[in-house]
Amino acid sequence: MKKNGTWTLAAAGVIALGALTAGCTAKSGGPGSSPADPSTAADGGQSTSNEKTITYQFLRNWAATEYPADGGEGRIEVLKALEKAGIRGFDFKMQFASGDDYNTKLNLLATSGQLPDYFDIDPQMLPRFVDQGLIQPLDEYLKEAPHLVKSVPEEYWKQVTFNGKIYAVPNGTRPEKFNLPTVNGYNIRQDWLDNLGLKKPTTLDELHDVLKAFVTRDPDKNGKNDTIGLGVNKNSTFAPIFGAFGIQPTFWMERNGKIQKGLTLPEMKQALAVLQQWYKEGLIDHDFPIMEPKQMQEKLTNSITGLWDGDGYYVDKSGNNVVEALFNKTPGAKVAILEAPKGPDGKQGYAEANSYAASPLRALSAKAQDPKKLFQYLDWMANDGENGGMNLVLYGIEGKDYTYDKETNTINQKTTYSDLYKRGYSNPIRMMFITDRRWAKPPVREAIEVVNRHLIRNAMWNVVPAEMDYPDLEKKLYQEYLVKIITGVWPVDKYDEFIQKYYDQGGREIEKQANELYKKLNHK
Amino acid sequence: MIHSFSSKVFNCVNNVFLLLLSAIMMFPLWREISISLSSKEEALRGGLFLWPREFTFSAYRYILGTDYIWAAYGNSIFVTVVGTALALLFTSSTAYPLAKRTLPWKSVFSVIIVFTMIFNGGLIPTYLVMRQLHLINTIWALIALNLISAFNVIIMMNFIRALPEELEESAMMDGANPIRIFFSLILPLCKPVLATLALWIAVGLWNNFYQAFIYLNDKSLTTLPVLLRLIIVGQQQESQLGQASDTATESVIAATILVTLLPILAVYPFLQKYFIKGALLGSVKA
Repeated sequence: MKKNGTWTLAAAGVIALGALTAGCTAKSGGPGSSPADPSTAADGGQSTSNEKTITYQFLRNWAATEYPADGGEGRIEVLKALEKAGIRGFDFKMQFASGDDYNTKLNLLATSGQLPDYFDIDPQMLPRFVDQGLIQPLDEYLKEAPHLVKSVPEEYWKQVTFNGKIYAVPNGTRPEKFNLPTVNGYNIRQDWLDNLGLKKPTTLDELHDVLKAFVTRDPDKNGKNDTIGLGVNKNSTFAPIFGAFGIQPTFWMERNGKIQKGLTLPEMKQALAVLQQWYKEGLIDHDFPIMEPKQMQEKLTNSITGLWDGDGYYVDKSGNNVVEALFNKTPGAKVAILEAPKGPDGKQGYAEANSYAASPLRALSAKAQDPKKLFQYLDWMANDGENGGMNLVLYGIEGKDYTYDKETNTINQKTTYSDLYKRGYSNPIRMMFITDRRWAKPPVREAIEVVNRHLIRNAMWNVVPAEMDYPDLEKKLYQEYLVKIITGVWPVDKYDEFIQKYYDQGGREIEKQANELYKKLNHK
Repeated sequence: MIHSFSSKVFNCVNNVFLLLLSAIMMFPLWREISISLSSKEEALRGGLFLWPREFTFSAYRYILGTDYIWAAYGNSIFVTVVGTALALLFTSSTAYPLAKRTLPWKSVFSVIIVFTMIFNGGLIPTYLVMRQLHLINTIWALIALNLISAFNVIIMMNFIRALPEELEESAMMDGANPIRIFFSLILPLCKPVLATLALWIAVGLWNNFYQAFIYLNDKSLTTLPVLLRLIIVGQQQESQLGQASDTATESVIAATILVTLLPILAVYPFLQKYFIKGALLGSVKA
């Protein structure tokens, strides 16, 4: 029996079309849509009766779980203080994305033309955004922001200059010495040194003896031979050991007026020989090539590791969950920071940290409205004086959330970070990042200063395009040789093979571009 | 004795093997449960976690006391419930006509649908399409993207084809129109396959991280997987800055994971009975 096919087909088609149209219009006004549609970032936002308030969209690469969706009390207080300081018609909305997929999201927003006004960006992505015209130069707006400009060191501005114009805002630092970017150095269990009657080692040889004692003489006095010397994991770079020979493998080092990557220099073999020897004697954790950082932390907390590459924050128990657990488990534990060990030629130094690593750069979208006002806001945030917002943004309300002791230049925080985030203050809204460690206790401050006494500097932090074309040279090839030589699988001389391979597989190109860029930057 | 000795030995070995296998599979979940019930410091110490150390509910109390977890819960539940319901509706309405032998251009439609199984537009074109539809940064983005999957359509199509035609003919003789037949006759008979699909789609929507991350910008639209990711990344951030906070300790992360798992875990047993029922169902009585 033939059904009435034609009629049904036609009716179905009409219904489907109708549903589609109805569905489309319904979806754009659906219950889940947010009040401020970010796709209209270039629009003016709400206009009040007297003046037009511009709501700037900020995107930060930050995991801010507690931050309230509407900005909370923090936003209201900041806006109030801004009015007092004379900046009117300003409002902001924070958006967050975090982790490794941040760049995917940023690229998507860029491709669809929906970039927020002011956002975090990686130094590797910056050149691309400049080329594609997605961000605008900041030179004229920086004139409005003297405090901001002052807080950023001169070298950093160089890294974000393209074609003579500045395209991003790097991080700034406060002038105090404990705000320097490098905080990583060798942490050592001081109580173990005391138990064994040893002094803090200052040279590589002394370090070797101390490590040997840690491994063989049961420093935690628990009767078991379970302690290891140098704790490392698969991401470790052994930076202080290389520093004892005056180089860092991944840094650019100046040689005869040109620059060369540290890992191509002859000092590498000297350092590798030392490391290989130490590994053979069992002073370095045997499983390090496969160990995850978390496992290394567990060994720390369980008092198995005696020496490790960590932050100056570790010396104080409130600095870190890991240290807190360590001090809770072993109340007598004491962590001290070592000055960079001296090598046989008297060279020493920890790897200089690029402030880049702590927080990305900030760029201004080409379509942002009224950037002048935005930079007034950022300058206000960089101002720590009476009329400025630095303390309010970072620490909350004076008296309620923190107290400032002028004499010792210390900020005593009364509220925890979780609570500050919950109310809308502190790190989530820190669109101008100025390293400020006035909250750090004296042991931490001293530790950071010790670390910064001897640093191996990078002649050039900029990334050249060739490095993006050959990423595996440092990540895979170098790592392979490093691990295999240290663990003794290959002899130290095999490293020459690596240097050859590095140059053949793209290293020459990288060095050439780097030297061109270096000349350009330093002849200004 | 009815069972021979070797058969008994086989049963014994078999049972032991299966027990071990299930213990190994259960262990990761069990470890998270133990960590979530341990104190903050003990959780950090790591190592083998067979039982909770320093038993405490503080991690749960902390995470359930925050308001962002309830917001994320709400969003996830909305997406899952509404998304699954709509997906089932759309999938079955797509599968039913395709299952009929008399549909004009049936092969054309089938080819188009199978085509989407093999080729995908890619991330950026899809994103641009969503933007044109004004679905970016709305919760409907997640639902719309997962409405119809060609695979599910094919499964349903085959199931409906297996239903005897006499059923529909008898209903039509009684005067039912196709819509009525679809909703009152076909769908109830498809309960087993609907239950299976519902389970797959629901789990997929509940665990959906990537799409939620890409398409949802506002903080108020966070879903549970995104929240979990935020917390874990937050833990790394803090160790870089030296500013510890309570959110990102191991025990709280474990508690969040379990809180995220619980609803799906609870739903599974209820849908299980439909699988079994469906297999025994016969509808054409002689």
